[in-house]
Parts: sequence; C-alpha cells; structure tokens
Amino acid sequence: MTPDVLEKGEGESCGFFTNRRNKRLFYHLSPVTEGAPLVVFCNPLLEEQITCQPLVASWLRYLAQHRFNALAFDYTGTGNSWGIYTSTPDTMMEDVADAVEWFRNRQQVGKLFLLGIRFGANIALRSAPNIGVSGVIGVEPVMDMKRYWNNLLRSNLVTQLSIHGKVVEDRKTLMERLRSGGRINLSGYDIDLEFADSVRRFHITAAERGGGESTSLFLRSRRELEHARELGFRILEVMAKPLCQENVYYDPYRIDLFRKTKWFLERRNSGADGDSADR
Amino acid sequence: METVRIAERVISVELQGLDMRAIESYAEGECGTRPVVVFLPSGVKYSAGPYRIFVNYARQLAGDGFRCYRFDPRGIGISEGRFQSGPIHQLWNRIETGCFVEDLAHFIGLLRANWPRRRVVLCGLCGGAVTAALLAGRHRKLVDGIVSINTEVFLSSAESPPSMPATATEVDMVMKRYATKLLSREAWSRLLLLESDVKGIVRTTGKFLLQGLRKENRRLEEYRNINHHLISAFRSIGSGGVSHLLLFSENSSSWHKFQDTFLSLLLQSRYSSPCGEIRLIRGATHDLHDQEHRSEALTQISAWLNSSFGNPESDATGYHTAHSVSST
Repeated sequence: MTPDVLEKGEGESCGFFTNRRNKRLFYHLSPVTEGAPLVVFCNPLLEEQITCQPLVASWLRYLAQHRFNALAFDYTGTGNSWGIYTSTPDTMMEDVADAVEWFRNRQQVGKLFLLGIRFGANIALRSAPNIGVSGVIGVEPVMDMKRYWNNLLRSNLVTQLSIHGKVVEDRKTLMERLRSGGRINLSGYDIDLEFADSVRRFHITAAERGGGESTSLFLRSRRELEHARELGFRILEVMAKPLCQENVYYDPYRIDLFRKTKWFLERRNSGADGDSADR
Repeated sequence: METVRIAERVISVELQGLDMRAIESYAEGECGTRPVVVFLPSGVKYSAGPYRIFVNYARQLAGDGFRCYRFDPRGIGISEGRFQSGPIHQLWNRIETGCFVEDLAHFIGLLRANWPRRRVVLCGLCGGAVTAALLAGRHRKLVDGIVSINTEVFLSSAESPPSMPATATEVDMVMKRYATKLLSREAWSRLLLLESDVKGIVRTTGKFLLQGLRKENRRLEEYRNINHHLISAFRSIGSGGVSHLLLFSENSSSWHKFQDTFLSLLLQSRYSSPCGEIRLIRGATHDLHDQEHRSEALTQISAWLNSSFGNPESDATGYHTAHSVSST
C-alpha cells in the first residue's frame, strides 16, 4: 500500500444530515459497501477539530481503500455543521448516536467501530456501550483532564500576552468570570460554565475499558500508558509522533498509524480475539 | 425581524481527475444578482477557517443575498488530492507563491459561466488573502473584488521564523513590549534563568540600535524575503478593475510588515488607493481570535460589499438586510 492511494476518494460523498435537535450536521462519507463494517470518527474539541480535519479526511480514504465504510461528521456547532458553539459532551454523544442511526437507516452495515481523536476518544469510549460498538480506537485520548483544561486556559493567557504584552486575567480570574455567569475565550471559541464543567468532568474511567481487548489506545506519553494500564486497558501504544503539531510540521498522512488501526479493526471484525465485547 | 433559512450543499468540480469541493450557501428562494463570494483556506487550514470564521461569514452574507462558497483546492479540506507533508514554513511558502491559484482559477471560471450576471469577490485570511491577490493579478478578468484579511507580504522561510521582526515598525513594537517588562521581577527571573528567548531578544535589540544609527532607505524589492509575486499582483490590481478591501488586525505582525513595506513604499502611505481600501481592527490578533473582532471584521466586509457592489435596497430582487439567519 503506497500513500498515493489516499489522493482519490472515488465514490465518497459530503453533505448534511439532520440530528434529533433538527440541526444540520456536516458529514464526509466513504463509498458505501453493503454489509461492511462502519467506522465513525469522533472529532476533537475546539480548534483541534479544524487542525485534525486533514488527518481525518486521509484516514477516511485509507479505510475506504480497505473496504471499511467510514463516516466523519462535525458535532453541532462545530466545523461545517449548524448550530452555535458550544455543545456539551452529552450533546456530542447524542450526535454520535444520531450519525450512526442516520447511516443505519440508509444502509445495512456490519459491525460498528468508533475512532476518536483527542477529546473525541473520550466521547467514543463513553458512547460505545450505548450504541453497540464492536471496538473503539482512541488516539491521544485526554487522560489527564486537569492538565488538558489548564492547557486550554493557557491558550487564553497566550492571547492576552500577544494583545496586551502581559497577562491581564490569570486562570483564577477566568474561572471566576465563568462562575459569575460570564463567558471566556478558549482557543478562539467563547465558552460558558456549563461547557467548562461538563468537559472537566469527562474523565476516562475503568468503566470505559470495554473488556480490554475491544479498545485500542494510542497515547502521548509513557505516563499516560501506565495510567491507562491501571484502568484496565490492554491494547496500548505510545505515539511515535504526536498529533496536532501543525505549527511545526504538517503531516495528515500517518500511514503507520493508519496501518495499525486497520490491523486492530480487521482483527475485531473477524472475531479473531474472542469478540467478548460484541455480545 | 424576518428569519431567513439558508440552504447549503456540497458541489464538486473536477480538475485533472480529482474532485475539488466547495460548500455553497444561499438564502432559500434567492434568485438575485448580488455577487458570489468565495472563501479560501487560510494556509493549510481548510475553508471553514480558523475558529470556523468563514462558516459564519458565509451564512451571514448568504442571508443578505450573496451566493457564498467555501472552496477547498486539491489536497485541502474535503477536496481530493494530496498536499505534500512537510515543515509548515515550506508549505506556507508554496501557498504564498501561488500553488492554489490555478485550482481557484478553474473553479472561478466555472462559477462565472454558471452565474454570468453576478460579480465575483474572493475573501481570504493570511495565506488565503495572498492566494486571492495572486489570482486577481494573474487572471484579472475572473475577479471583481477581493477581501484580504491580514495578508502576509513576506515569504515564509526557515531562516526568518515568523517570531523574528522583519521591519522597523515590528522592531519598535517588540521593543515597547520589552520596555513594559523592565520593572517586572518575573520577566527578569525568566531572563536570568534563560527561560526567555535570549537569542531573539539580543537580535531584536541589535536591530533596534542599528535602526537608530542608519535611516532605512530601501526599495520595496530590496527587502529580504519580500513576496515579489504579491508586489506584481498589487500593481496589477492597482491598474484598475478590481476592488480591494484590506483588513488588518492591530496586533498582527502582518500589519506591521505591511505598513513598512507595501503601505509606505507601494501605496505612498495612502489608506485609500487604486490598490485597495485599508481598514484596521483595533485590538485584534492575526487570526481574529476574539468573537468581537470577527464580528467587527464581518461588519466592515458587509459595508464594503454594499458600497462597492450595490446595496440590497437597489438590487433588483429587493433583498432586505433586516433579518436573522436561522441557526439550524
């Protein structure tokens, strides 16, 4: 398999479907193969959604080349979808279920898999039990929510530095503003307390490990790997090159990662590893 | 207030066996003659734009009767094709020298054939603004107007990272920042612990001192890494036929670079010239990080579109601006 095959998305389609709240959600769908397994992408949050889009598009084409049905979509109020930011994680999980439902209503599908990136991996892991998935792939899931939240707040501080040359509102003041009913800007998006609280509560727990063999996680560091192991996840790997580094090096064709996920998906699809999570 | 429902669909255009895609936004039932507005990717970020700025702009302007497209050239966003991986400054350099121009020209040519009575306006931010101007320079008959947001006049290169000030105004700005930190204990401790960008501080201070000793008297073309393609494009635009709005963020280094080069040497410091109308968004960052600044930019764009291409009151369809756009 050469990377060049990712250039063409023969038979793929893009458009909008309507979710349960009557919002039009944008989708990018590989050519459909009746009865083949379906892989649904779960996007990361905020600006990471925009920066990861090229990766998702090429990954979708790679999976299509290997006869998977692959569906990427944007949550309510994100990317090209309709609605106003911000959706809470609960709304995002509903959107995942609606995307699956929309596809199942128009096509007979085989097994269902979720492929989540960054916070999207947390969404995928939490959604899995509700929609009967056969496996979850999580790429750089948010294992340390406190650190993740601090990094989001840091994006606000960095902008203050570029505008005022100094930090005018520190993290504590920003949180106070949220608690008093105000909104703050996180990596370019205005968010409120409901969003902040719901994201900060969205830890990955042992409940999400899905039987161990049905979940494959690609992590950022060895520390995260140890943490995931303690929670009972078994198929784990530390990423050689982290995602979302578009400020330095642009590479949406992560063939090594694509191959590893294909291996996992094929194994789960054939039931070669016992298939305990499918029942 | 009337609520306008905006229709959206994905359209495809083939070029050399690959599908280029765009999302078309228009008010349902709209059949007027207001211009087509095409939004372009910002660098390698697809046509939704940073913080999905162009998704919101396209929907708002569609509500005013414009036919809007968010266009992805080959290898970007939802379009087919492959945009080579690599260090980001190399990819930006390719964009700044026009790698998307022919894809865009092909798309605009088809739009022109499809909408013979409508004029065509391009809108881009940073690298997208450069692409728009280069297209107008090379294919002047294809374009009637351009909205350039924080256009970048220097070519990206590994030798001069974006953090290094390239012009006198930029150096002054950075030195002012340093001056505000002179009494800060934190800043001094960062410096002494070598946590600051010491190399950058030394270089910028050196440049500042040299500036004081010799008055800069360079021609535009003599600036290192200046985008010569863009200079030609501006000259072509200035010779007539294409309206041009240049929006800049006050805190964008693109503005400081533009001031010392294109504005002072090509436009003779005129904020209004055949090359374009310049407007400044106070307090804004390069990629319009704050919602308030994105809204202000849209207000400026709307006003300019109405004044340059006729306001809806005089449009044959009588499309009204007093409306809200349905969010579903």
